[in-house]
Amino acid sequence: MRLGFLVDLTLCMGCKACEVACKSENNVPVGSWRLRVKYVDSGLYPEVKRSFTPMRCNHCDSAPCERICPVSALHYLPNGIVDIDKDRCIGCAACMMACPYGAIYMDPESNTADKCTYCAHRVEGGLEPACVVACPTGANVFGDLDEPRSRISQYIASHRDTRVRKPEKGTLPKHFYTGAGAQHVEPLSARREPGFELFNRLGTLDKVGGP
Amino acid sequence: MDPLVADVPTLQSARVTLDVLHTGVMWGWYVTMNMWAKSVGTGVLLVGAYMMRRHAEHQAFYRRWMPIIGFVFIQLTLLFTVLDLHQMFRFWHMFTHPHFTSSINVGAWLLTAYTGVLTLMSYAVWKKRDALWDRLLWPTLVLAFFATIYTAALLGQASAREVWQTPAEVAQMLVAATLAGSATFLLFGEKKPEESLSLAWILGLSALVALVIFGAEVIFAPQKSEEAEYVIHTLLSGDLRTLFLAGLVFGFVVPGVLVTLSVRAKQPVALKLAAVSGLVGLWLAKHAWLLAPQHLPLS
Repeated sequence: MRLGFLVDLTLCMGCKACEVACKSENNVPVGSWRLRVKYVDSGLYPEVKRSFTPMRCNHCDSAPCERICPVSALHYLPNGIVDIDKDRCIGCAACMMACPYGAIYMDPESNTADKCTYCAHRVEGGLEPACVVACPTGANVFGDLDEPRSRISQYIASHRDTRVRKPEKGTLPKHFYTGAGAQHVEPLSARREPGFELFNRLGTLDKVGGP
Repeated sequence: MDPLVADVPTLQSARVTLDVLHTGVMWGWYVTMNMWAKSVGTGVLLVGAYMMRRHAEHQAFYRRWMPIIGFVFIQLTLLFTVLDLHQMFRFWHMFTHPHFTSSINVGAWLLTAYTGVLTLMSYAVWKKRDALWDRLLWPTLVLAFFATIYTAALLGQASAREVWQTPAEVAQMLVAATLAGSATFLLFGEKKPEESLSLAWILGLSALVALVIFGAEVIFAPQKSEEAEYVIHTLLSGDLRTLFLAGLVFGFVVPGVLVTLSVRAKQPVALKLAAVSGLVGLWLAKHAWLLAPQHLPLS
């Protein structure tokens, strides 16, 4: 079994329900995100378009974060999920240096690395990840990539524009997008000017939770 | 905004209007201190061994100080490594839950073994047991070599950070060690002129090679990706320009010039200045090299 994720960007409307569901399900601290939705505006008035890109851990088949972790805090589950053992993590941040997708953050409460686990605890109980359940348009598709009859496999087979982020990194991501343009998947295709982080700049105290 | 870009109603005018704050620098000056101190800690062994062979008549100085200086600076390396951890009191997980695909873990074992042999060598110095010291020299040199280059493997594994994966990183680590080792010996203790000359050659050549490598990597070589170009731009024209160029000048240009002047005019003071400049510049260049890729947006 290889669990994977697909986001149909033609369906995503940027409502952030997935983001909120993820934070609620996983007790993600204020100012941190396992999953977030990026907005990119392109074009010039009146030809302007806003696009939305939900971004989470790619659970790569060849995960650089797993390789570089010195204590195996990041590890594979048999179903292909890259999970993290926060009790083992020493907080060296090497995984953050290795992940080309910026999917890992340092939890300000536990002082350990953290990231999306595809809601491994829910999956183990036969449930779908919280973000999938919360999505009002069904843009999030989750399932077994090794099973040809699964919805995600059929989705990939029927959408020729399916792509992953940064394939040149050789990480073999298991997180796919359909309907994606450069503005969705290429970080340098859009400028970042001060203000984009305004509504996400939520503070928390440093080092809460001890060393 | 560049007016040429502003007129093009395409992706070039795209801008991020909502995202999370950039993570910023996670590996800061603690990691720079780690790399710099390690250059000294292994460099004194690599350079000292050569000096013992080249100037056998003065080997007592190197016998005494190689292991002691090496030990002190490797402890500094380890101190800054541990201080940089967000969970520093779990450092022992490195040994109880080792993951050998990780260069960090391999490095922890290497540095621990290196510390062990340096301790034994220091003990041999204290007890004047030259036979033990001689037996330990080769294993120590092998460990010093691998302790020097493992950081290149570590930077190579940090695959999100462009430019750290350059093939010349191993060579850069080695010349950093020889530069730091020779500079430390030039600053430390009384030496005969011919010894100083040998150290000056090592310092000057190390500085030259380091400068050539940086020039080849940063200035002349075409970059493999847009992201790598972004990082190089940050180093040469962006926020880190002053830091990086100061590193190149103080670390490699000034020592080269001062060594040349010193050798021609027989001015030992210039060699001391070259050594100080080399050590300071090495820190600055390493710091800029460490920071630049962390400015790159990943998503």
